[in-house]
Amino acid sequence: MNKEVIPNRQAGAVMTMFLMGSTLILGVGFRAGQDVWLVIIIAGAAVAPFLAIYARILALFPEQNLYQILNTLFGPVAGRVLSLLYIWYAFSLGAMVMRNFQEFINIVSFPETPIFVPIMMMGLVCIWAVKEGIEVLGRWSQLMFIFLVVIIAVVIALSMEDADIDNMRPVAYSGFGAIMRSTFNVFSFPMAETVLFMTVLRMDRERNNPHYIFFMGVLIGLIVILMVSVRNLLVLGADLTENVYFPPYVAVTIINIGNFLQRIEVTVSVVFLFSGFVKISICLMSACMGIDNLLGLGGYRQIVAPVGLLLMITTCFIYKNIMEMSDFAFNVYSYYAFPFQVVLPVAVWIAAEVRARRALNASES
Amino acid sequence: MFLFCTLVYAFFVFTDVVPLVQNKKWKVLAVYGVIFITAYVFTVLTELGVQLPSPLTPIGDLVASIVGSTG
Amino acid sequence: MKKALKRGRILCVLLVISLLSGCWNYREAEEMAIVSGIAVDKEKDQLLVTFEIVEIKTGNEGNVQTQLISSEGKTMLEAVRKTIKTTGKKLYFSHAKILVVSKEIAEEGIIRIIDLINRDAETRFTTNFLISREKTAKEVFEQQVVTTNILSYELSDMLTSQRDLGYAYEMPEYKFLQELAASGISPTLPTISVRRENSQSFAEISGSAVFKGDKLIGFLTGEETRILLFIKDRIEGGVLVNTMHSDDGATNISLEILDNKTKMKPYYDGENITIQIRTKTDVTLDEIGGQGDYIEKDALAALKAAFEAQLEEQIVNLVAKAQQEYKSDIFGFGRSVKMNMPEVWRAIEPRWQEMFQNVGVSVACEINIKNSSILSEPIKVGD
Repeated sequence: MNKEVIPNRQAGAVMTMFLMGSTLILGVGFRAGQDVWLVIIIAGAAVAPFLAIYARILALFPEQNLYQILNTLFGPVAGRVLSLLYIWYAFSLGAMVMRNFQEFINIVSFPETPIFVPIMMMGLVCIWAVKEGIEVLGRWSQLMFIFLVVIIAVVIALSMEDADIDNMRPVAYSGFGAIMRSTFNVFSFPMAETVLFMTVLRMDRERNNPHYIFFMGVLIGLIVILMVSVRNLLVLGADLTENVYFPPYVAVTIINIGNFLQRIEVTVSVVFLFSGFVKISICLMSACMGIDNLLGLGGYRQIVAPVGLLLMITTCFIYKNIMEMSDFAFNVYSYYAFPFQVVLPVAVWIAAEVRARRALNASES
Repeated sequence: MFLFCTLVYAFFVFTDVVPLVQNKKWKVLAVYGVIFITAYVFTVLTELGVQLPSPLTPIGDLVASIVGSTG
Repeated sequence: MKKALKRGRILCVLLVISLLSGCWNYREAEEMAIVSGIAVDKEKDQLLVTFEIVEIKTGNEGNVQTQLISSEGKTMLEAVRKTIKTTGKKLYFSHAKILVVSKEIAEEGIIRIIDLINRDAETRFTTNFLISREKTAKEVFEQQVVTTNILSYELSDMLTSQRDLGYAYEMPEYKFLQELAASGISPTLPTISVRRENSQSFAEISGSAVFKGDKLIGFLTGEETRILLFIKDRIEGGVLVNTMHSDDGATNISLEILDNKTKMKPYYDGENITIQIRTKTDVTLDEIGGQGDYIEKDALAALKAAFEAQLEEQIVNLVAKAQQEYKSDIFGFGRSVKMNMPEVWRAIEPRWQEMFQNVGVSVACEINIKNSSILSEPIKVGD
């Protein structure tokens, strides 16, 4: 069967699309006001050491994904427990993202369509993609991400006519505390969500460089997110950006060049869906790989369908309404994700280094 | 609506379940079945209007209690 | 067995596809009444909402006609839905470009009206707001159209063309919301009135309405609005007119504005705020209404000085008016303090309402006369 290994560039592209995922719809750095650009940059710096940790873990165990590494490091019992935790995280993240998109489609386009329909449409495509394996996802992302970035760049250029640089001043008005809190938010959504990539990527000894993948993927994703957020700020202003559910969408509705190039937001939204699809697919893949490893099923593709279906229906009841969704995202998510994004990886890394050191000593002596 | 969902699930039965049975992959089938049926039950319940509890609610409460006491 | 499997799958897919064709949110174009403009008035304690609806008559050259429909309701949405009683169609708002609010309602608070426009996904953030100076907003819609068939779109175009005059300016909804929400500036909106001439009446957009919070508190004339635009650095065109006196008599001069840049800088001496306003305007000398030679160097310098003084005076007067009569910071002085001296702003923000009235203003206008169009001298008159 396929080895589930993909070249560096593709992995980076997948990661970038993953990062753009829900950010293109929701915007980032809630409550940061006009300092959102500062927050994004600081969050990028803050996540860098963790990216190094994620990459290092993969580098120390070539040809293994995180679930296998957990088994190797902590033994079959503890390893399985930890795997279960990540399966849960991947699953819940997938459901949350899917719900984001469903709310978006619902509010902006189809208010009366029952909640299940767009979810099912997207879910079925994700199931199909995941079943085909990460190679397919990798190739597709490599192609699509350029397309996506170009469209975003063009749309941002069109927005410049309505942009007002004064919207960004004064700098750092919100104060240190608010900035730090927002940075924590951006760190966990979406930056450190890349932790999931440890669970789906397997490093081929010769062809892969995990550091390149993580850093390049996140760097480009960061730049795109920064550009979009700054554009939102320049066009809408700090107060309005916080007031609306989907700031990038609203910013695009304002574009009107010569009374001809207007109302392009629908086209743009369709493109945003692509990145969401990648994000959800990765979450689904991670959960399936975890279950496969946990129960020793000999292949994750066989259970993609039921897990995907379960994911879809969970999306329906994971929040009662969009207010609950926003509330969770602002207040709870950063803390919820912290153990998965920071605590566990650090623990794994330390264990991995110790083991590697021991192996080195053993081989020397 | 109901028919639609059932059809989708039926499709997957054809696509996945039958080959599994054919190839005698009992363990996989068992796991598949459990998850599949759980999902289907949830779907039916949602169709019927039953409000299923969200797994995130207890998490939200837990975080609130931790952060509330320290912050 | 394999064949049966395949058939089963295809059957499922086909059935699903047949269920999927058609949509939940399917709307026929004929079932919708396309709204181009909205006018809101007060009727006792209800809102009287008037919609201009576009009807497309099939046939030669896409004949377009409009109709006015009114409806009452306690809230905007109620009034909107009640129109179904008369039209039988649901209103469609994505093409609505104008919202006119009567001054009566604006005086009580405009949020009651605009929340729906803001919140609903169908209405657009680029809808232009206007305040009606007449008794009602509705009568604005009843005026004659001049160039196109759809009055609302014509009004929208009129707003845009104000760029070349400066007596009013476009205030799309999202910009109004920004100014409303921002601390340190009070919003203004363009105003519309009805001009009656002989037996005809026209809608005229000129001047602006001054707000404090979300309540209307006063008006500015077209001329005053132009000065407002100067201070806010939103002038894109227009004319400066002045009368020069010399031995030849009084001559009226027109300067056409090409471009303008205004800089606002706040100063704080511990007690009071002073705002330094500097404008830099590029103009062409477009009209000399007499024989006096104002193109010649010294006279040109005098001309420049006169115009600059005039503009400075107008700015000072307008600021005084806003401070004393309206007590509302429509220029964004507070915002300027916030941007340039954030620490100071943090301290004085709660007192800004009163402090604004005592803000000192120092104005310096610079007018650059780039050329005198294609004539290098005034018109010669022989004997």
